[in-house]
Amino acid sequence: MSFANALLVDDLAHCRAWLRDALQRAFPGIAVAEADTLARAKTLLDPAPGLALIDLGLADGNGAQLIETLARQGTLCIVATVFDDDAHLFQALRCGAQGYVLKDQTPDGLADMLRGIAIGQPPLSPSIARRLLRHFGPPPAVADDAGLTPRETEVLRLIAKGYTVQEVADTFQLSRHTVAGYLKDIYRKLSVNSRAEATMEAARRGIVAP
Amino acid sequence: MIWLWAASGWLLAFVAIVLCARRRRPAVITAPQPQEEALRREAAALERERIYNDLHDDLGAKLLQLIYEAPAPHYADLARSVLQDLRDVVTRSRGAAGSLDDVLSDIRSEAVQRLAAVGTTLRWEQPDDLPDAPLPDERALHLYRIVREAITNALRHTQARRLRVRIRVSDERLDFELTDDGAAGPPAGETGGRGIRSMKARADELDGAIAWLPGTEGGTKVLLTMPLRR
Repeated sequence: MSFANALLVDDLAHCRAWLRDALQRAFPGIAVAEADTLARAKTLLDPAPGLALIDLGLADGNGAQLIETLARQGTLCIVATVFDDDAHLFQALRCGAQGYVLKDQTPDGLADMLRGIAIGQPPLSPSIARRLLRHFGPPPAVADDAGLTPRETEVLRLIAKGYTVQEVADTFQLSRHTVAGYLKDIYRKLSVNSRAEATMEAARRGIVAP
Repeated sequence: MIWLWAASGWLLAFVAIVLCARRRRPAVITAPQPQEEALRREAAALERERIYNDLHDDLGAKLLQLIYEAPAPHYADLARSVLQDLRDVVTRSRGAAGSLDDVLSDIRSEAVQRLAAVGTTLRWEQPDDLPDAPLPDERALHLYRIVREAITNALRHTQARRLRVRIRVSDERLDFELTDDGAAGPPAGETGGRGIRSMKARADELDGAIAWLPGTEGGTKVLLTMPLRR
């Protein structure tokens, strides 16, 4: 799976150079528009980029709001971060980011992560997995699209213990592809869950008619 | 460039001491009231948040630059391990005290990624019925550092292709064993010596012990034992 154009948002020039290189390795021929601030990024949303790589620690605000806007337009949003158990990263995931990359990876490592996310195989660190388990709680007694299925919860528990995707696949005798699919569904439920919560909360406060 | 490593090392050590010292209880005759305790914790948490934001922006960015501009892979690996030390100090200490299980999971995940970057495999052997022991942040930090240094040595001095971790828990004691398949013998040279001394000092802080032994199938085995308090 490839993309024609991408939006790259990071306030540090050397990070942009590194991430641009990774984007071009992952998706040869991709056109990369760059922004060093949220304000500048907002001028580059039309036409919508196929993919956006966003650093959260921007000088003029948190990248999460940008992610929400872009995700609604169908852009694949990926967070670029140094810390993978950061509360801000979790918030970005709730806003619809479909994965994250760690900025200290090698260029090839980064390119692999980007390609993985693009084909629906997002990474998940043990600390994010633990946060997700706390967030969703135990699977509901009656199957409910908002909560995790028992299998998804099991997968998350193993990831939280430090298992790799391959090790989880071996444990349940599934393919790596299937396990990666579970992770993708979990991310999707997280952002759907969050939008639903936000809508309900807004309705409760009388801001939006339910 | 060496001075920069030394400077970051000292700065991180200073920050770690500040962050840990804030959590040590002052000597008091009567037990502190729950309210005072809560206020103290909140003040400490705000202070950590402030330090975190400073370090996140400044040190994180500079370490990334060192990684990106490293003249050789082992420089980048060293800068990455400094970044990992930074992660320990600012992000791990922000949450609630972790459990032994959480800490081992994080160590495992970090080791897998680090070794994958240089093409070395990791075999991880851990009992399924690990006791649910809490592990205070200060102790967890020592454990992270010891394992990180042991892996650095295995990669740098012996060029190991395979690493095996074996964990055993018995009678409130943790045995953490790391064996490589590289050239046998403890690491030589100045940096090897300082790393070993640091690992011994940390094992002492944990009221534990650390030893280097030849592996049963070649290579070196690092064995750390430490008490687990309930």
